[in-house]
Amino acid sequence: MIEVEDVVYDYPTKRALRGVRFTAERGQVLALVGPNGAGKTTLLRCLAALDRPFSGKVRIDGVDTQDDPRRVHEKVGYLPDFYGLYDELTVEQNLIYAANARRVTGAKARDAVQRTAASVGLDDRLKSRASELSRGLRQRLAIGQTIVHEPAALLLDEPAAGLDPEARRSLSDLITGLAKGGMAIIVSSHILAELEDYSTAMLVMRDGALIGDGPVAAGGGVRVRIVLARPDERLANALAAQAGIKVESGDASSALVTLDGGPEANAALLRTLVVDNFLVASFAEERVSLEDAYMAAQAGGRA
Amino acid sequence: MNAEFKRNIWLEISLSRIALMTGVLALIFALAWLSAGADDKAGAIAGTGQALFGVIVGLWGSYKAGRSVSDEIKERTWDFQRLSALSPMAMTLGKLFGATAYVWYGGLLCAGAYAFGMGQNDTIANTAYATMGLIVTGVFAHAVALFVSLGAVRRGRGQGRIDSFVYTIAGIAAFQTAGAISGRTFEMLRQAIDPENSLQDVITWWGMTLPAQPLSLAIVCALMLWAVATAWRLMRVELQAPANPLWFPLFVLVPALLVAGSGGDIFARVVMAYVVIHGLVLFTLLAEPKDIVAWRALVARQKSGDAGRYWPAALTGLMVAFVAALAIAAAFPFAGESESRHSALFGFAAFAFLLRETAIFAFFHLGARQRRGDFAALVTIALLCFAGPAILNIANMHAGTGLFIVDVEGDQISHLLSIASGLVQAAIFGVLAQGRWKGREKTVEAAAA
Repeated sequence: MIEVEDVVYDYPTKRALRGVRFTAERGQVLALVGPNGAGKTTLLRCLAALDRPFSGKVRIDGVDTQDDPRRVHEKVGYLPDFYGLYDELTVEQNLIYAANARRVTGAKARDAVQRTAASVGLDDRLKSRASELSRGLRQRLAIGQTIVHEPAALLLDEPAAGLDPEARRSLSDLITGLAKGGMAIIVSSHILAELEDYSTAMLVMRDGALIGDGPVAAGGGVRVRIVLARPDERLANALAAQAGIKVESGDASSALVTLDGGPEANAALLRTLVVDNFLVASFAEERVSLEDAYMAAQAGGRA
Repeated sequence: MNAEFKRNIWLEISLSRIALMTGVLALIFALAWLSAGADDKAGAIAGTGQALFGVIVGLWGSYKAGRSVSDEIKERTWDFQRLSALSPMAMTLGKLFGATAYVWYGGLLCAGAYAFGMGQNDTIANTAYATMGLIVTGVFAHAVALFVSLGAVRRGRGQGRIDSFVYTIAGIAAFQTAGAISGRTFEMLRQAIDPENSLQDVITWWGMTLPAQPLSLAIVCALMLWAVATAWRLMRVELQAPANPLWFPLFVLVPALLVAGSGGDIFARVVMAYVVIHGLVLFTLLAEPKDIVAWRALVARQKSGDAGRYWPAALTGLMVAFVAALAIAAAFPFAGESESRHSALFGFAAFAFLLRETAIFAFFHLGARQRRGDFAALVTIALLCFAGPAILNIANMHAGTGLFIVDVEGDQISHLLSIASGLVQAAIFGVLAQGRWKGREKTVEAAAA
């Protein structure tokens, strides 16, 4: 659905993207994360065919952004980090304009407006002016404008910035629903907590390049924290000798490990430690958060 | 209906605004009617209508048309519009007539009053030509303001107050120019007031003697279409629609041919055409992006054989200007007596300085502070064109002015001097620009590494 090959983008004083390469499929929600200035917004603008890369290829649903940017525009919905609305128009007029401008007209436009307003929770505000909406509702209207034509790919740049927890929750539900409907979605943010609920994979950017050469697991895995009742210098070697175990951190009295193999692997490890006379005081599962995955990727990228 | 036009109508037109415009205009026309003498009431209505049309359509409309894109950028809605499926023509017309819809409501009321006043003392044909001329002039002014603003937007500028002022001034200048051509509006008004003052009813254009009113209206219509086409072409660039390489030659040739038609002999016409082409190439140099990124992308695409779509219009313009300079040399033997003091080298002399201006723009845009490149380039060009000749004139070295500017009245020696000087200056700035280019390349490569 979204294919990116060795994209390079230059500003007059710096290289913003350095050979970015990845793919995203329908139904996938990629979290695009990285510090400010990493190149996230530039990458999204290249994907939306708003900016032309210096070199490399971007294809959306098989259409090259440089060969036919206008067709790409029809296939994507892009919400910039700083977006504008026509404040003097009503919610309905904003959505009708968005639909008409995307070649959705007549009865189809009316249906699209009703469907979109319902999906972003604005169906009871159709006659309100955009200027009368709260920040959260404005955000919903902006997202509504980007999805009213049912794009194949949706690109959201910091969509939850400034939203209250309730609005973030409804945004999360909306993104999950759109992904289930078959859209490929990329959501950029540097607030990892907001991406936790709906991301299926993560693109980590730093200094214009992707860390890990493409999407990495967006957390959600399981790891085990082992705590001994008494420090034992053998622990590190004992864990290193086990197959299918990755030690993330540890010392003589504790360790944090990731295991391949599910509950059986956990049970086997625990049995081995007990048989080897380690005084295991605690053997607890921990969920790997997006932030953990991000920090691990960043650490890997620096190494 | 055009979605962009409809959106603008939603924003611009409301019952209260319509009532306000109607009421204010009715009041002004009533005052004009009451304050005029019994014999002059029709003339007063026509004059008031024309003056108000100039203020509402010429001034306010140019401002609105010029801001129609830059306001979208300011309000952060332009990216959404660039992503729309609206065609560049739909977007251009939607902005041209939508953003000025309210202005046109007032303008058409004024044009109606003008036609009513003029119609009392003149024929229906004269009234119709004059009123049409007024309206077409208004569209021309708005299209010029729109394309000047699109040029600024393309360079990543165009949202400040000074920019708005520039668009408005461009629109007013276009309004005045078209008014002077069609222009007969002023003459006709004078005739309406003073029927004894007869109009010149034929114009010689490209050697043909043609009826003045239809010809002047046709010329203004052609200029209007040219301006709309230019705005459309720049809108295509903004919306990333494919560019047609034939556009730029048409962009410079249409107004050049329109203006050249009023020249006396073939040489004078070619010279006039060259002057228009030269000016439009300078405008294009100013309007196009010229930073290191644009140049590097062009060089990279040239190497891969894909430069056609990205070829800068200004470089095409230089080729057209050179062809026009050749045409001047070819037309010189056909110069009439009044032009015999000129030389066949006039075009080449002007072209050499055009190369110099191009090199100056390149030099300043490859500097570290390239955002001020245009300003620095314009100041340098102004210094070379005005300060240099002024100093030489003060020193009584009048012949030396050809070192900095082309002398329109100059002879062959003067023009040879200009050619040599222009080429040397172009080479100097070209070499300096190349040095900066290499320095910037190293910087970019170091950053990339």
